[in-house]
Amino acid sequence: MRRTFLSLLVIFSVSSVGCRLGQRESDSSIVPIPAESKLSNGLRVWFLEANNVPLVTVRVLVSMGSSYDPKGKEGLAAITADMLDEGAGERDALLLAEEVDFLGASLSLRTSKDYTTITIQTLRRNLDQALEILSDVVLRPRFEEKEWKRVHALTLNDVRQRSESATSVARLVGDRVFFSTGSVSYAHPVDGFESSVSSITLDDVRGMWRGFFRPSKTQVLVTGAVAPESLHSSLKKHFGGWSHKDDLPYSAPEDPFRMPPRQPHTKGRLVVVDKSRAPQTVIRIYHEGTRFSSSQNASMWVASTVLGGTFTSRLNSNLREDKKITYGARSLNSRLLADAYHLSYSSVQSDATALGLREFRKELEAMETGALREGELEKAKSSIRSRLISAMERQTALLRVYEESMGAGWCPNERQKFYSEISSIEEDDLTEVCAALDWSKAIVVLVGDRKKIDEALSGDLGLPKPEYRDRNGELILVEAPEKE
Amino acid sequence: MPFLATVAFVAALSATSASSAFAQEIPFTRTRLDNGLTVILHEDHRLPLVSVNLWYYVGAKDEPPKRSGFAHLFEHLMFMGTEKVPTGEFDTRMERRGGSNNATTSSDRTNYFETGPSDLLDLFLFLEADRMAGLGKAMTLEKLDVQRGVVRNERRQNYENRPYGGAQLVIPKAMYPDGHPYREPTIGSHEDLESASVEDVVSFFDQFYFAGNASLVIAGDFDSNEALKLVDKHFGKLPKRPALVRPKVEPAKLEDTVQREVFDAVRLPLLTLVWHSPAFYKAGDAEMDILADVLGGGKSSRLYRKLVYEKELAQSVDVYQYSRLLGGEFRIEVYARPGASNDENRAKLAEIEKLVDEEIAKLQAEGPTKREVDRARNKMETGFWTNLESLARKADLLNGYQFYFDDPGAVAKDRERFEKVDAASVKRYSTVLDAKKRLVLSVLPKEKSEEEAK
Repeated sequence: MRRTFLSLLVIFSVSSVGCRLGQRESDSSIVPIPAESKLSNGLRVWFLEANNVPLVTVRVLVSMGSSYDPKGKEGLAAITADMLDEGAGERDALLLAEEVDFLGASLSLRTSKDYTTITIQTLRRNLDQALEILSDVVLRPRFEEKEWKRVHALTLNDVRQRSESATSVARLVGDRVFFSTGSVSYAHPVDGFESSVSSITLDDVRGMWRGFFRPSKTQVLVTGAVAPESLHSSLKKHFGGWSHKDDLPYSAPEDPFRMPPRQPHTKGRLVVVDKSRAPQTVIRIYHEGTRFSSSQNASMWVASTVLGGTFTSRLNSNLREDKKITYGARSLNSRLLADAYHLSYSSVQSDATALGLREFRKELEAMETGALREGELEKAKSSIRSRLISAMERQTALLRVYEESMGAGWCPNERQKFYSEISSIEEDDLTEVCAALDWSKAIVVLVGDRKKIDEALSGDLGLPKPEYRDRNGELILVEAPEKE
Repeated sequence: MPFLATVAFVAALSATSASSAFAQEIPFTRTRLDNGLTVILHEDHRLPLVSVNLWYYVGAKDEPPKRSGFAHLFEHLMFMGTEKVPTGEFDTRMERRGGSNNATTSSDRTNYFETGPSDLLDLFLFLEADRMAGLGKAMTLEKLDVQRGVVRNERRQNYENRPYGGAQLVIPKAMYPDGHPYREPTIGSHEDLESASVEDVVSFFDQFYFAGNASLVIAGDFDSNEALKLVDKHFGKLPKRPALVRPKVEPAKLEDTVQREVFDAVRLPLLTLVWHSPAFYKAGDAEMDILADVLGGGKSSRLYRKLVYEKELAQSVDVYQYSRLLGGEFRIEVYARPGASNDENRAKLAEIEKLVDEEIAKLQAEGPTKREVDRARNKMETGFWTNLESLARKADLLNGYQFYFDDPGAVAKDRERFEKVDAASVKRYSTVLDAKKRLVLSVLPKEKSEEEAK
């Protein structure tokens, strides 16, 4: 393949159900608005009919993100989600999987820092049966000891294997360092650490589920080939009996929205993780970003698209097409609920680590202080809009568009507002957000062959002294090499 | 720029009749230009988008000796500009108006595709025709060096610095004899990539990149009459060339079990079993797809149940039929739970292999159940529909049907293949999985000793 597809970080968030912002008519209707309905138990349902293929996709959003993991039990939200389909209702784990497969359906469970989604996609003729199974998974997981032992062991192995993936390590270590001082628990990886996952018990899982799985904290997002009445009656049948009375007493964790914001980083840091003999160095450069709720978020999104959001963006044109030291270089703004970073990243061949860092610096400084080049603004905005339209093609991608605002506790029509803001952005709007891309405040993470990295750092790159960390982000006490 | 008609868009998403029967095929028209270019049009006005998809009938299998990775490197070079469209412009022109593009190279073919707002159709066709006409003339060593560097980094990123990536590079050489077109991995070797010259590029272009060796699909929101005029304007004057003569290739066979053991920076040992299997869309291909699902498709499959669930020996299981023009490969991959040493890991993989063999033997003796076959078919039906959700995917499917069946309407034949499969036919083809004629590839965690030995 000629290029990597941009894998947008889809990390959004939920904190409570209900629209936080007032619904307002937007002048731009690029994004169709799903119809809202509510079951008598308060479960909120959003639906967008689409009849081009005989499929229906149902996504349940629960505000159980890894940011709610208790200290020492990091990974709890993710493993709780993983346990949901390991036996539920009348079916044990294998029977449940078999019946989902027999319907031609697929069931997926995903946890982010901010929330969890449980999604089933099915042939429309099997929708009612699929919803029955989905309701078991959400409402009646069995959490049996036998399944727990296996899932626990498999999860630990996945966490161990993660340390061999340079990009996963870079993400883990970078997030840990960047969010270390925040009051919202974004610093740890969604799947936890080996030690924390080891200490999780099945009782912890049951407690987490009881705390978060209630109609008042859940939203359902549906798209596909089904008539609204038929969908509504199926949902009522399978989710209508889910009662508020099931809401057992639970000391709810604090809403990240109400927590004090993290103090922004005022100095840069340089973090090095050794991966002996790695042929490439993974580079991740963090800056302060804009929150999903920020009024500057659309501006930051456009700015980041100019910098590294498309094939011909500045980073990719420079590091890939001009310096030919990488397969791709990109940037993005995170989409977290309660905090934010801007990220510039690439994997460069090890012997070009210094050159890669110099070029990142050059491009970031040019964004921070320079003017836009001809056509860049139009290109970024067009690309963002085209991606949105393309997302409308596929049910799962479409739901993801809405998931962003649903996850943040807003109405789906928040997306209209966001895209309408994008279209009206002008160059001046970018100036302020780009000021954040200050090299002297960059948190730079490098994962690669330490000898090669130390060689690279011997030149003047405008970076602080390196701190060495292991693959879990723990500090290692070693002498940094003297600069020449 | 008016990006799209708002009203039309919203209406298009919601106004289709819910009760209408779903189209069972992808409607299309096909024409052939005098120069041999096959042109396939599929209108779909749901969204204001258009997708252009161009297949050249050349892939890694057509590389000259000592030029592994060349077809893919060439794919990269196709974006490096011509006399009319200087380097960088191909991408910039379309991105500016909301278009995007990419390309992929497989063993059999290379595809190039663009998607964007419907009013970009003219631009997309111009750019594709321009490089079909003039890429070779504008090639330079400088351009070649840039993409050589990028591709070598693609190899580092996707194979060398990715856990288990190296094992993928071992399979082709173990499965195919010298001189077989599938003997080399598509990504190629650093050495061969370094050796490629401008002359190689020009001669490859001259040999394979012409109208008669390609097919063009346009899918989406356009008018067919207008589109044909545009195709004729841009492609009509390109020269007609004699058809390629393809060498006849004998199907590859393994006479014995081939054993390979490799070490990688991984924590979990991996056992991969590979057999030669039926070619794409040929007799038995659909049965092998169903068989793969019965053995390893999700938690309800036989191997998952046995190895992950009951015996708790494995972390995960993947089974798939990897079909290609000149023959398929049936692959079973089992990630094992790690042992304390590589001796233990070897013992675990041996035990897993034995259990896999028992499951295969059982299938060979008794065949799958009807429910297993139906289940696999239901999953495929969903997969079939998800494929039809996106224009780019539909366009690629049409080109695939054209390439493999010489019939863009083969979607019906494709579905029929699966409707014909039953437990007896799966049982019959399960004999492909001969325990004595396969590759057994083990990936073991690099231990200190192995690391130092390197």
